[in-house]
Amino acid sequence: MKRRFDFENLGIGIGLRTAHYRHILEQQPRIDWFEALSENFMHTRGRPLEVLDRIAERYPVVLHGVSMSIGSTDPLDWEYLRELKALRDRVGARWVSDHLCWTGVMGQNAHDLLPMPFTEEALMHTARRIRSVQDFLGAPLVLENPSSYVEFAGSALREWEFLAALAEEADAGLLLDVNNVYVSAHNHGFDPLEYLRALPMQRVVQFHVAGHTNHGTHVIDSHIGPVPDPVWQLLAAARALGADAPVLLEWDAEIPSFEAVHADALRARDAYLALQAGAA
Amino acid sequence: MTPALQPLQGWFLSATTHAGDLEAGIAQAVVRYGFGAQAALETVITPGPRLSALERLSIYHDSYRARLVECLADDYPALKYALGEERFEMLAREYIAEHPSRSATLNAYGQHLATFCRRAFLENTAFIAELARLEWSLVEAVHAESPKPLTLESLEGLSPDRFALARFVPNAALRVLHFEYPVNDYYRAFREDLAPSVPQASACHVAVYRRDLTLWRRDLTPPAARLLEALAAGETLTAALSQLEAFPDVSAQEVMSWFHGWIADGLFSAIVTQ
Repeated sequence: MKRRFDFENLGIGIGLRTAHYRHILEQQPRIDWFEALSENFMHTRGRPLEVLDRIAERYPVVLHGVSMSIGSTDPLDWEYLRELKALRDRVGARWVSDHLCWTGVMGQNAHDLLPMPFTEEALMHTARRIRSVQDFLGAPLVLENPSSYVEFAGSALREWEFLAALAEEADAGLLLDVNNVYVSAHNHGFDPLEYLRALPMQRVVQFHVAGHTNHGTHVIDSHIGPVPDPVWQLLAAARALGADAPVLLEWDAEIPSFEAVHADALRARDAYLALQAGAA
Repeated sequence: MTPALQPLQGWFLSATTHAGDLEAGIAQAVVRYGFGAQAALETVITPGPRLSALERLSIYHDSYRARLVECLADDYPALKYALGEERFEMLAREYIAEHPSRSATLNAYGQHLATFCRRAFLENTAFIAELARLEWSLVEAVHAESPKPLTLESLEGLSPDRFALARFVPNAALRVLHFEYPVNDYYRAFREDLAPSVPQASACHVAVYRRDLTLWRRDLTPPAARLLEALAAGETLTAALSQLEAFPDVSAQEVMSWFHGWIADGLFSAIVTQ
């Protein structure tokens, strides 16, 4: 399968978290790359930037945002985008990603990845904004499928149809979070493999894997604990469908040692090796 | 009829970020947008395989407050300890209701909490507000620019006349704080898991700053605090030293010792001799 974009496959990385700063700077562990949460390094001139500068000198870095609010009906926040672009250039981030969501409206930020209605209006609106952002950044925007807990009655498309159409319409990259596919599939009762089969895998620039919390009635994308087997299986399935992209492990609650997080991330290699063995 | 994207987002945010319960949020959203009453909620949100539309929406309502409470708890761990979990959460919820975030980041979300504490109906309000102020100054020190510090070597060769009229540029991360309660001792005891109790009033003076990646809190005597504050405010060395006339027991040797310590700690980033 020919990849749509020229971004390199960085290998297996982990999300950069404050709890690991000191270990990374002092021990300089062997790891392929880091994903930094963009907003943690914005609206600051201090320690976070100093840490990221040092890490970016040694490791490839990717920026992953939570506040672009690409699906919002508020105007695009050009001040935010200018700062994001400057941060990308400062640390030489390989690409910039955010979520298919909105985070607020009328100037208020809920700091949550709020769900989109999957309508034609929302599709055209979001595609238009993605193109504006891409023109400004001079690079493709990489969009992640978020986990969700509601669906709107007015949706005319399923999430995977919307995401696939949006990526094509805006010529955007995809950050395929297979844990979020698992979480939303459980919460909304769809087949996660149907979701994966509908996506244009040549647009997948990056994967996310993470843990979640099952409350019985619903699953929360908590980023806690080791990545569960069904999530690894979805990663292998996406890989089998042709996605060739680096894997990033997110761990945000009860964060263990750097080594423990890294060891879990390296299971991605096992998932790939198992797949190759199966294919052979 | 399917609501358009803009009113749908307004409705959703209005319902899920309301300070009261979700039912009150939905009622407010209906008043603002004219659709989506609780009795007809399924015309907006579909029920899921195991949860009703209301239960599904409540996940967003609950997580909004939980996320912002967690953000405040991260920035104010000692305040949370001092108030106890329940009272801290009540205070945080009141703060969240009065201060919805309008920023892309949460780095400065808690900036008004010390002021808010002063107005809140709390036991030991004065102590609590001072503790909050100390903790926020640490957050400010994290995010302030910290340029290369001034060194003692760079001061060599300055004539006494020029030195007397020199002004020092403080490190942007430096804060000189005055408290009526021993909040720095309390904070230290909290950090060392010594389970401190609310102390009696007893003034303390603290310099908060960052050196490289590490945050520091240095206790200051009253004259040292007065001098450092004057220097940080941009007064000339002579003018700043005149502040010490109120402290006749302070020796020149003591002042030199403070000064050397402050330079070594990187509290100044430049000297202006014009």
